[in-house]
Amino acid sequence: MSGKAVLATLKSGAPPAPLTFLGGRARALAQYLALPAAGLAIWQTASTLGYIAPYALPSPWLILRTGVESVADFSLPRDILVSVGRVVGGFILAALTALALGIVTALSTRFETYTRCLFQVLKPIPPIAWIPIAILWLGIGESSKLFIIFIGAFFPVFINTVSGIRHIDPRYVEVARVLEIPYGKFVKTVVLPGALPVILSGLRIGLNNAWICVVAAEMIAATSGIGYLLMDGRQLAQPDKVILAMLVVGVIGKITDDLVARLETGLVRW
Amino acid sequence: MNGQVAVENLNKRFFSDSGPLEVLSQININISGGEFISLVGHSGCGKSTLLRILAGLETEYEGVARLDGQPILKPSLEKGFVFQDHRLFPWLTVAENIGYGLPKGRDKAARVAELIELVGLTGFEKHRPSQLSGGMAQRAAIARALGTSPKVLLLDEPFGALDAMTRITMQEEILKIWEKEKVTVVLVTHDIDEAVYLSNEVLVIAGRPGQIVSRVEVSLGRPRDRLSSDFNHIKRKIYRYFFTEVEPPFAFSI
Ligand SMILES: Nc1ncnc2c1ncn2[C@@H]1O[C@H](COP(=O)(O)OP(=O)(O)O)[C@@H](O)[C@H]1O
Ligand SMILES: [Mg+2]
Repeated sequence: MSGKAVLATLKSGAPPAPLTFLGGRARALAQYLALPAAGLAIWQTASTLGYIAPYALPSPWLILRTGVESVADFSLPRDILVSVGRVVGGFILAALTALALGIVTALSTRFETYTRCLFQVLKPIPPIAWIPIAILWLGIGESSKLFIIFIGAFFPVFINTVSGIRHIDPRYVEVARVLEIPYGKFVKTVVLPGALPVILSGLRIGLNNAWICVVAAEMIAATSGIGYLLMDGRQLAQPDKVILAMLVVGVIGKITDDLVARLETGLVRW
Repeated sequence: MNGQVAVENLNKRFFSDSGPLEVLSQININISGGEFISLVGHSGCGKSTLLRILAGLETEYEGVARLDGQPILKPSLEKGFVFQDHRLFPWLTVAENIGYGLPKGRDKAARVAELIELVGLTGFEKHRPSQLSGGMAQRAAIARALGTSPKVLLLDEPFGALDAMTRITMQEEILKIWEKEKVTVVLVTHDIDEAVYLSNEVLVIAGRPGQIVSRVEVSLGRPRDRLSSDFNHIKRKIYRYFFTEVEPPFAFSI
């Protein structure tokens, strides 16, 4: 039973009534979509009746039409692809670096001693605060976007890797000592699997940050991507474009988060 | 040399914020190779600490602990340890856990199969620890400790968390293993019945700091009858160190 299901049992005092497979699924889906659907309905009605000025908030219908048009002329898919490509590139770079540095930091007290202060100072600087220097150093090409994404994704992965390894259950360390397990095997078979759940949740937060950072970076310095679409819509006074871009950011963020969550449950099966 | 364990004039204290804590005092033990010895005592009297010293997990103390004449300075494969909580790795299967301490090689798989057979876990090779009952997990932990053929097997209340029925089954299992593997066994337990049923000698530890207050030899044949009067006579001898005996009123005694 999932944690959520257990919690539900606690609250109701009894296990949830068994639902038929399809009936249960359909009902759950309906409940899941009820609130956004109601919101959309109210929004559309208010727009149709003229309560909302279209230049402030265009109707869902208008946004949908803009969406269909920008899919038809390939502009939206291209922007999405560009942004997703940047996120993937920056995130992979950040994740690999953060994993490697995190493992070394957690396992080597000396390395940790030398680097701690630097990381402590760099960590609180928001990724967005790096944008000016990134543009100054790297221009407005791809590398400045990758840089910002890197900064955003690095710290969650790094911090979780270090703390996941540090908080390895000392009882397992004793087992390894009693069995005279060589250090390399110990790290591979005890330390990393033991830290895996925490590392994975760091990766999840990192990916989330990467997605937030790409939008921010593209809003300030770019000629393509979802963030650019957002800024472009504002400059051309096209609120339908702005809101479309926002919705796309939200939906894609949700989908990637779901994928990583699924990876988590697939990898951590104990 | 064959698994002879000796402890000479051992004193152990822990240092904490509230000052030093004397845990063991003047412990002297001599166990011949292949013997089955139990340590019984109240919780907190230092049984686990003593066992951890024998395992080489605890190295700060006065006195000497020896295995086959050599001082015990660190953990090694000669000393198998089964912890009270089974400590199987949750991300490994039963077979992987049992084979964990074994060197890679052609005979590894065969050895694992042999161990699984020995502890009666055939059919559960691919299960994860979370899918096992407490008794099965403890058996897997025993198999893991036996895998490297230690000279001495150190068991820290290995059946403490099991129900009475499973516990009796496990006691039979451990006897079978002991007879087959001819390994020295040091068992920590707070179950006097278990100690008398299994061991050649029961060491009673009591007091703070813990001291050996009695060594009770159990010279009963095997298999032992838990209900026999000899068995209960020995049990009563040990009980006396923990509970003040209530004299039955004169009228009821024969
Ligand atoms: N690592 C430790 N640091 C400080 N005190 C400890 C430590 N380990 C055990 N103790 C203390 O030593 C005493 C004996 O513990 P232990 O050997 O675990 O007893 P037992 O196994 O007989 O229940 C207890 O009072 C316990 O709190
Ligand atoms: Mg104990």
